[in-house]
This record gives sequence, structure tokens and C-alpha cells, in this order.
Amino acid sequence: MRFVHTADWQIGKPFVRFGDKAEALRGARLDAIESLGRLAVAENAAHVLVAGDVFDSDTPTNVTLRAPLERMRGFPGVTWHLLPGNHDAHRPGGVWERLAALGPPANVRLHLTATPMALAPDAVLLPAPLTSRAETRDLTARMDDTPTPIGTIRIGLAHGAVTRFGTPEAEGEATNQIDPGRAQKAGLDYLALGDWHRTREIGPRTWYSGTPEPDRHDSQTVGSALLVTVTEAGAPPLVEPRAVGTYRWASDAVEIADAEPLAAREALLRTTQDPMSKLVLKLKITGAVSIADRRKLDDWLERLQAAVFHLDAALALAVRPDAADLESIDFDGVLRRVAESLKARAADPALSGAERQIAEDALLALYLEATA
Amino acid sequence: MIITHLAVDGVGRFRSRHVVRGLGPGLNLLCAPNEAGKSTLFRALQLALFARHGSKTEEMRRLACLGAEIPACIEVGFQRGGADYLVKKSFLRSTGARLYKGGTLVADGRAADEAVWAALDLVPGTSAADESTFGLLWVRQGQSFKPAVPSEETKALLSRVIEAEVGEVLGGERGERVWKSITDKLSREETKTGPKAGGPWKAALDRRAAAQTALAELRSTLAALEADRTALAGKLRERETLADAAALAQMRTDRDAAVAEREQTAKAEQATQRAETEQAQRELGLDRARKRHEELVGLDQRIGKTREKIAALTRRLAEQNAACAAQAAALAAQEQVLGALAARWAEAERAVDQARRRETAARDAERVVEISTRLARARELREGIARIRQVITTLAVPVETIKAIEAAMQALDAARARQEAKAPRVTVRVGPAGAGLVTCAGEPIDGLREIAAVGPLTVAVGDIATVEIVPVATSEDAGAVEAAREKLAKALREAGVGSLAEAYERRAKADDLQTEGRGLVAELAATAPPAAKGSKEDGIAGLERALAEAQAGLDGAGIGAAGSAPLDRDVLARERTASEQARDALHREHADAQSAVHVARSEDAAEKFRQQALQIEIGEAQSRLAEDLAVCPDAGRDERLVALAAEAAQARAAFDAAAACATQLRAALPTPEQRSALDARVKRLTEAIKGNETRLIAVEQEIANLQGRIATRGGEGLGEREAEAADALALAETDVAAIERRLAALRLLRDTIEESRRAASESFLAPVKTAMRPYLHALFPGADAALDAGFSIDGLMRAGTDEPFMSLSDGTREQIAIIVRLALGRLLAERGQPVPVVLDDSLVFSDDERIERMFDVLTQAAEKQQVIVLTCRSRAFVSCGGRLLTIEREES
Repeated sequence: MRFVHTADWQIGKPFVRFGDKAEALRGARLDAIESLGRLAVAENAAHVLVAGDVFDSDTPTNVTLRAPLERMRGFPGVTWHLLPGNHDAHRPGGVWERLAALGPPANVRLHLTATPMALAPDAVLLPAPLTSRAETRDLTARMDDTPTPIGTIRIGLAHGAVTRFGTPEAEGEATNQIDPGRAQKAGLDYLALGDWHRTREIGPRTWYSGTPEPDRHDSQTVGSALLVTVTEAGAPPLVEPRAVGTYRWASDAVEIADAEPLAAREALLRTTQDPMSKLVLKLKITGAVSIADRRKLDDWLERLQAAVFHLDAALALAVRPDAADLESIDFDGVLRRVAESLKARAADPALSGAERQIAEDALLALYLEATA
Repeated sequence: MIITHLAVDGVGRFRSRHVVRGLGPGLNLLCAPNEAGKSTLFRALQLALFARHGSKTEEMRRLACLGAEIPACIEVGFQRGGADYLVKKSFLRSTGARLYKGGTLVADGRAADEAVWAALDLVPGTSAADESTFGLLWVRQGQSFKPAVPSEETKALLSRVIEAEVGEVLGGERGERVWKSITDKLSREETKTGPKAGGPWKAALDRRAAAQTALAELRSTLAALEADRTALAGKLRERETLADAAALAQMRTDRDAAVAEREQTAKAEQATQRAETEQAQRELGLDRARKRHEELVGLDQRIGKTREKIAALTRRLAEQNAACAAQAAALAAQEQVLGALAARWAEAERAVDQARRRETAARDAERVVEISTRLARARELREGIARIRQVITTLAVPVETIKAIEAAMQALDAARARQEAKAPRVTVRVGPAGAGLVTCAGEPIDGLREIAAVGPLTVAVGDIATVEIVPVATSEDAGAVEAAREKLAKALREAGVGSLAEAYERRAKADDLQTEGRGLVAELAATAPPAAKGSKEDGIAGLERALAEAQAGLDGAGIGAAGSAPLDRDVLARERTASEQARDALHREHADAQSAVHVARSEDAAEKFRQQALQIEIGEAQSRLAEDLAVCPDAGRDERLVALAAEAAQARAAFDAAAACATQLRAALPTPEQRSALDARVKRLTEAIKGNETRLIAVEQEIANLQGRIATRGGEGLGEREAEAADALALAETDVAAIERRLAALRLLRDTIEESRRAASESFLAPVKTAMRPYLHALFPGADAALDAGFSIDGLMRAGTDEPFMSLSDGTREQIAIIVRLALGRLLAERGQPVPVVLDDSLVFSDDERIERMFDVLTQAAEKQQVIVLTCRSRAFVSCGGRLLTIEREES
């Protein structure tokens, strides 16, 4: 028995902050479906199990609703099993009823109840669909009592968290919780989970597939799916992560004292994140530099922004003007005294961080004006 | 720079070549009358140094000689940087320019123009160079009282000069550029009150507000959708409950069982009712049989009793007949007594009436006497009053007539007085010898006598002489006297009196009679009071009528007729009282007798009534007996009584059996509480089934509505739009934060520069103030001038008081403006940039004392730089000192 395990497509995520590039990111999420289909066909997997959050919201437009169906329709030899997650929970009048009313392709199965479904003569799928955004019960507990013929491969499909993710006990129940020992308790050969966007093994038979196309920097760099092979009931599954995403979501941080290390950092990025045109880079730069080096940094960032798909630069950088900076502003006179005053203000510990930051900005503005 | 030579030819009024003689370092004074050409020379000097020779500005055209087709030629010689320069320029016609340095031609044409400017450190222009400090220090006619406002170029030069000494305190051109750039950037984005419309900041704020609004609206719609979904879930659960087939079937079974039980009970109820009806019918039969038996028993008993009653009544009727006869006899006796008393009572009544009439007649006789007396007196009074009124009519003189007589007498007196006043005064003084001899108007005169000769007057002295005095004829006065006299006589005639005194006397008598008449009238009113107000009858007529009435009453009574003796009213009263008492006694007796008759009559009637009642009662009893016997004769009555008793016993047995059956059936029926509970159960189950069906239909409808609404909203992509709006808001927030951070930095930079510039301003202006102070103190001891960073003067500080420049007098403003220029010139001169100060027709507003001090100031300033003063006020400037310049014609 071989299948592809995926989750968290979140079709319809807007990416407004990316401006004109938002459409490309939205399209990449649909492209990932085709990547999954091609993977299934290539690996001779008859089923793709989608462990929840197919859609980003439970009120998508009809176009958003139809788009993934049309991608899946293109792989008639693959059966797609869709499960409601917390983003698109199955509720009355919700997205799944609308989807069902549209008439999904024959190769698409909607698992809106906990009814088991045979994947093969010797394999049964035990789904646990979410019917609310915040379910306080562990819906996979039903799997413990769901009988299947002896010798049948039991595969669970669910969406939720196996830990409380730091929710304090005093703050009430964590929602959508799943017992990490569910596979053993329910005699599952494999429990396909969704919710975490990063691929993660919880146990030999329990996996989060991660998202096929990331949407944030704190998940995995590139989208992936799991190719799962279960030879017989009770046998350990063979789980193989496969990259299927288009864009790489990387984070980097660098501390600098001058503009010198920037060239080396750029070279490293070009080596490790090739192609740069598909890189969504979050770059944090810390340290303290002179005004002249700060201008060089700005030039470097501008070039980097042109090279990557998107650059999100967070500068926690102190500007420390040196003597050359101040002389560039003026040797003497009002401007020089203003520069000295702003420099002292930027370093004044009695002022708040925001006030010091404004003084640094003012000093930089003075530098740019005076040297223009 | 020192100007050493100035010559003009064909310029203004100078049609031929004229030269200014005497120019040199220090103070130069050119005193010349009006229209001597001073200002023309000043403009010529400016054009020669600053204007391009080929240009033709309005200023140049004004320099041309009127009507002369000759070029305007100007020569200027000056020293600068240790070198001697000579500039020769021709304008308007045959234009040309040449510059000589040290006697050698160094430039020609446009090059000469620019070489001059280069020598003077001026910035070239298209038609002229910027005059720089020359524009500041060369003061044209009429401009001297205006504050010195340096051009940008001049300020830059002054700044360069000063900053070389105090450092680049104001940042120079770069500082100005940075300052301008920052303020421009800020002004593009904000105003004093907030974001500027159309600016990026305002646009970002608007975007943020729009994003907030859009997000709030979307979230509101989503909340409504969420509410619909929650409601839908609830309705679906309710439908599931309502549509539970098993529960519904159980309810229907229960309802049917209850209905069947209720029908069974109804049937038992009907059987019971039938048994109870049978019982009632049996009871009715029983009642009838018993009644028939009881009625026959009662009839038998009544016949016996009736017979006994008739016998008793017959006995009582006989007794009553005897009582009636006795009562009739007693009544007849009583009626006879009553008749006798009635006759006596009528006689007594007539006696009383007679006594009363006699008493009234006596009273009427007394009244006739009293009224007759008053009537006689009243008639006397009326006659007296008429008599007095007649006398008054004869005597009385009206007041108006008396006043007319008085007026006529006054007029006569006045006419006489006027006549006498005009008449000659004749004074006759008779001496002792003439005693008795002298007469005047026939009357003898002794001693002294004065006479007014109103008419001819004759004075005779015995036979010795007769003097006749005839006054001038005054017919007018005499006529007036005569007319007055006639008028008086007419008034007296009309009054019927001989004199005014007689009129007065007759008037007094009439008044006395009036008084007497009023007394008589009052007495008449008392004797014969007038009738009530509104009545036409007077008092005497009233008395006459009262007398007639009293006499008529007396005559009617037939008592006390004239001639009869008067009646004693007391005797008459006692007689009347006695007759009344006798009558009253008889009246009481009669009443008593009448009561007795009434009583006897009543008793007689009662006896007769009782007699008739007994007769009627006997008749009725006999009638009833006859009826009863007709119904049930005495024969066979006992047999009928036995048969009816047997029928009644049989009916009782049938009734008892029916009652037992009905009681048994009623006892078997459910109690009312049990039947009520059964009804309630049937009703409850029926309503529950119906309500369930109705509610199910309603819930289905609500579900359909909710599903329709949710489907509609679901297709709008609210979730995606909400996420987009949230992202858009975050983006707008980031934009606003970035812009506000940038603006905060620019504001800080602007404020810091402003602060630094303020701090530098004082040290920057210190050299100017130092240069100005000696001049200022020469005129205004202890004073200080306030300058701004652009070298413009703001005001004067004297005796601790700030005085704005524009509030100062014209003279003071002119003096201070010149002092500022001299100070700036001195500043430049001391720092190797000497520029002459030229004052054209200045100090025109200064008084004698101030102008002397200004001469001292000019002399002081001239120690450092060349000062050229052009003036038309030769006498005022005689003590100015310095070089005296002249304008001389020179043959070319």
C-alpha cells in the first residue's frame, strides 16, 4: 500500500503584503497540487491523503473553491482524500457543503464524517474530520473503537496538534488536540496528520507532512510531502519526505560592524538558495555601523531585493557616525553642531529606544542631505 | 575700493563733458543746488560699473540727453587692490567699453564689462551684474530712511567675510540648502495642524482608515455569517429531534389509546343517563298516584268542615242584626244636639263683626280731622310762596343789567377824565383885595382855585374884568363823553331804575324775599310731603286724596257721621273682645258635638259592615260545599278512597326498582377527575403531535432560509476578503509607521537646526554690532540695535526698551539705516573688502543737532572707507567737512 501524505494547502491565502507578487504565491499553492499529483503518478501511489486545511478560510470564493478541484481532476488515476481542518472545518452551510454541491470530480473523496473508507481490499482509511474551528475533544479517539477486519491496514487521517503548544493549563483547554500515542492505541499502521506546516515525525507511525508550499518563515524552507509505503498490517511504514514546493522561504541573520561582510554573505546566499529568484528571504541585520557603511548597506539591500523574489529586511542596526561621517556633513558651523547634537542624542541612555532611533534617523537624513 | 574719477558727456543735462573734481579717500561732499545733476552723476556711476554697455534698459534711456542724438559717455576711475582702474563706456549710441588698469587698456567691449565686474568681485548678469554690496551701500535719493535689506548675494558676501572671522557658524550655503530641503520635505507632508492634504502622510493615514473600515465591515458580515451558522446548527439538531419517527409513533399510539378509553366512557355515560330517565319517569307515576289519593282524602275532609262553618256563621249573623239597631238610635240623638249649637254660634259671629266695624269708624274720624288741618295750612303756604315770587319778579334787576350799567358808568368816567386831561388848567389866585370880587363860571372864588376848562369858562373880577377862557375845540372828546352818557342813560332805562344805587337796593330786596320764600317752601314740603319720586301728584293733592279716602271710609261705616258724638275707642275695644270670647266658647262646644256625631256615625257603619260580611261568608261556604258535593257526592266516596290507596302502593314499588338500577350504573362510571385527566391526555397528545408537525415545517423553512443566506454569503469569499483586508491594514499600518518615523526624524532635524542657528546668530552678528556700535552711540548713547541673521534691522533698544524699527520717527529711521550701512561698509573695509558708501540727498529728515552728530559719524566712517555725500543743502552741510567736490565743464 503506497500513498502520498500531504496537508495544509490553505488555498486562497491572499499574501497582500507582497503586493504585485501575491498572485505568484497564490498560484504556487495550486501548482503544488500538480506537483503532488505528479509525485503520486511517478511513485505509483493510488491515493493522496490531504490531512486538513485544504482551504485558508471556510468562506472562499467559488473560484477559489473550484481551483484545486480542477487541478486534481487532471490526475484521474489518483484518488484524492480531502479532510476538513480547523481553517475549513465542516460546519452546516460551510465550505464542504458548497464543495459537495459543486459536484467534485470522481477521483476526489470528501471525508466529512468519521465513516471508514476502504482504500484497497486490505487497507482502510479512518478519517477524523473537524466540525468546528476549535474542537475540545480528541476526535481520533473514535479510531480506538472502530473495528476493521483482521489483517487490514489501518490508516488514520486527522488534523490537530499533538501538544498544547504552550497553552497554560489555567487558560482552559487546548483545542484540536490529538493524543500522540493514538497510532498505538488505535492499532493504526500510519496516522497522517496535518496542522503543523513543518514536516515532523511524532513517532514511527505518526507524521506531520508539512505544507507543500510554505507561507511563512517559521516553517520549512521548501514545501514537501511524504511518500508512505505500508507493506502489510503491522509492518513499520516507510516514510520518504519529497520536495514539491516552488518558493524557498529562508530566514537569515547577520551582525555587522561595517559593510565588509556583506559581499561574503551574498555569495553564501547565492550558493545555498539557488535559484535566488524563488527565494523569499527574511533577513535580520544587527550591529552598529558608520553612516557611510549604512549607505553601503542600503545599496546592498537594494541590489539583494532585486535579486530575490521577496526581501523582508529587519534592521536592528545602530548608526554610529565616525569622524569621517561628521566631516562629510560639515567641518564646522551649524550643520556640524547639529550632527554632534543628534549623535549625542542617539547615544543618550536617558532617552527611550524610540527617541534614540529617531535621532539616528535624523542624523542619517542630515548626512544624506548634506552630502547630496 | 576708492572712486577717484568721474566724468560724463551726453548724459542727462550734461550735454557736454563734465568732470567731478576733488574725489579721493575719506569723506567727499558734493554740494550743488537742485537740478545740478547730482543724481544723474550717481546713476551714471552705477551704470558704468555694473551695466553691460550694449544693453538698453529704461534706466539707460533716462540718462540720454533730451533731443540730442549723441552717445552717453561715462568715465569712472577707481583704485582697488592697489591698482588704478579707468572705465570708459558709451551707451545708447556708438556703444563701447574699455577698461584701463594702470593706464593700460586691459579689456574692450563685453570683456571690459566683465573685467570690471571681476575687478569688483561681482557676479555677471545678462544686462548687468548683481550690485552686491554696492547696492546696499549706495543709497539713492529718497531711499535713505528705508532699512538696509541686503540681497542674497550681499548676505552671502557678508557671511563669508564674517565667517572668516567667527567661523562658519550658520552653515553657509550648504546649511541653507539643507535647511530648505528639510523644510520643503516637511511642508509637502504636514501643516502646522497636522497631515497635509494630498501629501504622502495624509494619503497613508487615509489608506489606513479605509483599511480599518473595510476590515470592520467584513468582520461584521463574518460575525453575522457565523451567527447564521450557529443558528443553522441549532435548527438542524432541532429538526433531527422533531423528525424522530419512533418518538412520533409512540405519541400517536398513546393518543389513540386515550381516545378509545374516552369513547368507552361516553357509552357508559349514555346507559346511565337512560336508566336515570327511567327512574325519573317511575318517580313521576308514583307522584301522580299518591296525589290522586291525597286529593280525594282532602276533599272528603273539606266537605265536613264546610258544613260545620255554615252553622256557626248563621248564629253570629243573628247577633249582629241586634247590634245594628241599637247603634242607629244613638246616632239620631247626637245629631239633634249639634244642630242647636250651630245656630248659637252664628249669632255670636255676627256680634263680633258689629264690634269691629264700630272700632274702625272711630279711627277714620280722627284721621279726617288731622288731614283737614294740614291741608288748610298747606294751602296758606302755597299762596304765600306765590305772592313772594310775584314781588321778586317785580323788584329783581338781573346781574347782567347791573354789569352793563357799571360798564357804562366806567366808560363815562374815562371819557370825562380824557377830556379833563386835555383841557387847559385855569388857576385863579385871589388876593385879599379881590375877596368876593372874583367869580369863575359864575361861582365866587376865595384864595386859590384850579379849574380844568373843559368848556368855555368865564372868570370875572367884579366889574373890573371878565376873562373868558375858551379851550381849543375838542369835539372828539366831548362827543365821547356825550356818547358815554347816552349809553349809561339807556342802560338805566332798560333796568327800570334811575341810578346804579337804586338797582343795587332793588337787588338786595329781591334776595331777602328769595330767602323768605325758601323757608315757606320747606314748611310746605313738611306739611304736605310730595308724593313718591316719579309721581305727578304734589303734596296738597296727596292730602286732598287722603282726606277723601278717610271720609269715604267713615261714610261707608255709617258711624260717626257729621254731627254725631265721637266714639270712645277703648270702650269699643272692650266690647269687641267680649263678643269674641263668647263666640269662641260656642265654637268649642259645637266642635265637641260634631265629634260625637262623627263617632256615632262610624260605629253605626261598622256594625252594618260586620252584618254584611257575615252574610257574604255564609254565601261563599254554601257555594263551595255545593261544588265539592258536585265533584264527589257523599254516595260511593269511601270505595274510591280504598282503590286510590292501592294504586299509590304499586307505583312506589316500580320506582324503587328503577332507582336501584340507575344507582348501580352511575357507580360504575369514572370519576370527574378521572375523565378530566383522560381529556387532558387526549388533548395534550393531539396538540403535541400537531405542534411537532407545525414546528417541523417551520424549522424546515428556517433551515432553508439560513442555508440560502449562508450559501449567498459563503460565495462572496468573505474569509479571503477578510484576510486580504487584515493584510492591507497591516501594510497600511507599516506605511504610516514608516512615514511617521521619517517625519519625526525630519522634525527633530529641523528643530535641532533651528536651535543651533538661534544659538549661532548672536556670535555671528557680533562683528556687525561691534562695527555699528561707535556710530550708534554717537547719536544714541547707550543704545543697541537688534539685527536678524540677514543683517536686516529689527529695532532699537534704548533705556531698556525695545522699539520696533517701523515705530521710530522718519529722522531716526533714516539715521539708523545710514549707520547700519556705514557699519556694514566698515566691516567690509576692515576685512579687506572696502566699498565706498554713496549717499544721495540723505539726512533730509535730521534736525540741526542730529545732523551735526551724523557729520561726526560720517567723518568717523570715512577714516575706514570712502564716503561720498551728494546734497543740495549747502547751508546745512557747511560744517560737514571732508573733500568738497565740484562739477566742472571740461572741453573734450
